[in-house]
Amino acid sequence: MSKPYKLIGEDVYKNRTEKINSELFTLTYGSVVAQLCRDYNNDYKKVNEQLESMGYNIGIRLIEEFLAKTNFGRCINFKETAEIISKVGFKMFLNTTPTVDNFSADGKQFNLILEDNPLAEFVELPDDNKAVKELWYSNVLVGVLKGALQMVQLDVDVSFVKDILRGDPSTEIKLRLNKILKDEIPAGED
Amino acid sequence: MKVLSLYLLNKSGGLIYQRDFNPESNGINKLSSNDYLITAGTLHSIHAIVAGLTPPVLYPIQENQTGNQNQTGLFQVETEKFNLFIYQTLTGLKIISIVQKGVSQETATRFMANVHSIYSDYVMKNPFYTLDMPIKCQLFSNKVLLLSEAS
Repeated sequence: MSKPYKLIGEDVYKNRTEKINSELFTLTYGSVVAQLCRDYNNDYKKVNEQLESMGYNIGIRLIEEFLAKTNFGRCINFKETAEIISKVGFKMFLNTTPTVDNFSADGKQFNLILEDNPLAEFVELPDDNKAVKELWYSNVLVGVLKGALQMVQLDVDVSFVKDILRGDPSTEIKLRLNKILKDEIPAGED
Repeated sequence: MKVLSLYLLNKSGGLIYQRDFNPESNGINKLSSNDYLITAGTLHSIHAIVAGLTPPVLYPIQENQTGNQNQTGLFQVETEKFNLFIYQTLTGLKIISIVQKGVSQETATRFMANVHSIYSDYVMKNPFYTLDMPIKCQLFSNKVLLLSEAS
């Protein structure tokens, strides 16, 4: 628990990751979401699903880079997982460090509060009275987290609970650990 | 260091990549593609059996700096002519390298960690690669070849 994840995250971000123009990234994501909204005729539930599934496919691939660059071993508990996701994972790929909050008593659930969401920098949701209620604009993150954690044998429910874009005071993602997929942990770890 | 051969196994023990380096002069026999599959599957099984034989640790496992999560499984095979090392990532990917005698374990481990890094770039980020399927990515092959020559 005492490991300096903040420093590790900064080091990996500074020295070992490729950087791109953040506006290119933000605008690309924006046009993907806008296109999905058009494709699904503003059926935002479908858009959310589609974003999550795209994120999932990213997550199951991205985890490999995360492991190759950080050399982390298995976490001893979900608290450590939370620390690593926020201080190293988000730092490395999005250069932001969400706050870990609301850890449940059983240690299986927490919220990530994104003070600064690079995906949504220039975004205002369409004012059709539906988008603000139904669309989770950054839902791709939910899929990424779910996919990445599943590849390290953690079955986790991930969902957005708040989004500044919808008028909430903050942007929050909730993660709940369902179970550790013990049968799928590769032999030989310990 | 001289790497003779590199194998990549997916988490169920299927061979997804196999390559010999400078095959005409490297002192390792070429096998049929079926034999490579058998070799891979056998190593995967022995690895799991060895892990099963190992009693639970009574001491904390040492922090390692390479990302190799292979703590209790089959780790190394020594023969008259070469050594074989097994590296495993947290996702269950196995990287197996056959190297010349005299190459240290650290060097081999570093090589395999670098292969993992190349894999994460040129295989996982190739949008047309299907997970757990044989790797037919030319970019990955080129990078691995360069790495084997450099290390």
